[in-house]
Amino acid sequence: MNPRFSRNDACRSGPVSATAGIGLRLPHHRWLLEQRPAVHWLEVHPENYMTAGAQSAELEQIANDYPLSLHAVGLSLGTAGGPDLAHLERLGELVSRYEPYLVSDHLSWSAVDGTYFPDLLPLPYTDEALDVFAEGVDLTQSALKRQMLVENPSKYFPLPHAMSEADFLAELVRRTGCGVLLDINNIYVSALNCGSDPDGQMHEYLAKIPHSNIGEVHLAGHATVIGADGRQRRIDDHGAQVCGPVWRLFRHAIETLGPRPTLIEWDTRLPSFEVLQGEASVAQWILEESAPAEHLYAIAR
Amino acid sequence: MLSLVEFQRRIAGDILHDAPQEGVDVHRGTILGALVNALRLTFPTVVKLTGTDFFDQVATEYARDNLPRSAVLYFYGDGFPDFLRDSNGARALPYLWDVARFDLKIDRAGHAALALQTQAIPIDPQLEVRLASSLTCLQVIYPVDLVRDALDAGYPKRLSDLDMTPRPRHFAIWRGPDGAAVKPIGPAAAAFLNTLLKSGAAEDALRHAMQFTCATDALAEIQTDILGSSFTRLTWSTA
Repeated sequence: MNPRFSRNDACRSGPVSATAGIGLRLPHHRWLLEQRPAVHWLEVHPENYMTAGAQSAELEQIANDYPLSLHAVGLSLGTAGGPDLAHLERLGELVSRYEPYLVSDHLSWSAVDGTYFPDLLPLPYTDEALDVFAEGVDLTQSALKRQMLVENPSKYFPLPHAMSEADFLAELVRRTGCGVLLDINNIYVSALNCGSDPDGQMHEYLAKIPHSNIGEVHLAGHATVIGADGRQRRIDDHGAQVCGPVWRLFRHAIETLGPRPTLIEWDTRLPSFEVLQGEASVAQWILEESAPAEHLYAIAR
Repeated sequence: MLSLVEFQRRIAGDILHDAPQEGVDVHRGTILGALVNALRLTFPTVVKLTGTDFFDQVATEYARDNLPRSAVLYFYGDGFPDFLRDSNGARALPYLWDVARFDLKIDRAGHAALALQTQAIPIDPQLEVRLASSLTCLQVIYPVDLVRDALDAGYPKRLSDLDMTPRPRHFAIWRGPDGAAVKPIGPAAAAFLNTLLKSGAAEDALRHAMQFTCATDALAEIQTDILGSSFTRLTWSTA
């Protein structure tokens, strides 16, 4: 039986700890509320709670006992016309309501000419895109009155970029003061899909982005499919355990950066919560083994 | 090099028009999958009636032509019942349109706020009512509540036991403390409620209700189905 977890165990009033958390999905709400398993922190997609439905009341109860992070997918900060202001307002309401430790979205776009595509679409890394994205981040941070983190996306085809993703993010950090959410599975998937070396990509990230601005790490599994052309492609479907090479990249990142709040994400073919706890315990073990213990519980957001 | 908006329009076009560009198919699959899943969650009874293969096929066709305007997918799919009614394969199930509209109303009520209307409606000099702000009225011709209950209970064979004779049926649907709530109501009560929700004028509502039955029966039905329901809060004036 899982040890029950209470708000007192989570140090909710302090800064988020550099521990392993779990991405919470709706099918696990009931189980979590009944079992109160030991989890350092939880992350949710705010879009799932932009309603007065039962899930919002359940999250209210969950937020009483666990530190929360809000990981948005709908701001569309890379849209040429600017982000969706109505969505930003809804996000602001949730930030006020749940007081999350971390707020993040993606280095991507999802809407054009008022039509919304429920996916994280790739940006060309150009000066114009940087101006647009930085303006969106400034607007968001001003509206939320806090720093946000921006996550590197998964890519499925190369684009004619004017700069690398790491350069783009480093300049974004310099201009806006935002943080970076380093998704290590995305680095791995993107590198393989675009014909580059995952180790080299990780090295570039760690060399170019100020370490103090890397505020969170994501880990997830992905699928490997063979296309009609016979080529292997990695799909970031969050539907499997974290693979060995991604664990290795994670260990390298933590040894370089020091401990960071690290999330296990799982969205498709969702297993029991205990499976996610198992993945989180591996991440926690690496965090503890790779970094001095006194650093584990003292990272500012 | 394309400007950012030109680039985004080009990618959007490639996604929508099945361009063979490598990698775009992954995004197309994710987008359509997310929208089909949103529709499955909103129309659970339709999924059970039609089976997932047929549902996903129709839902994918709908999604291709009806992309959302917002990232909040809970409110996606308002036009799906009409699309379903007009689709070829669905014509074999004449009650599907009614079932889809019933599913939609229940889903929307489940996401609505648990609140009363801010403005009270005077019924007579001593009585005011406030209705649930989420309250809506649905008219169908098939017993959609019984169909949904039978399928929810996992007894699809019971469908053949249902009286599927088409005749007007009315439901009040609102957000209750435990989620969406449904109450069958009579035709006079439905006329009263529809007018009250539209105009907020009790006299007009009563006049409309009395077109369906005599005054005594209409008042009795309104008393039972509307004023005595948990979606109504009555306030008596002591003055």
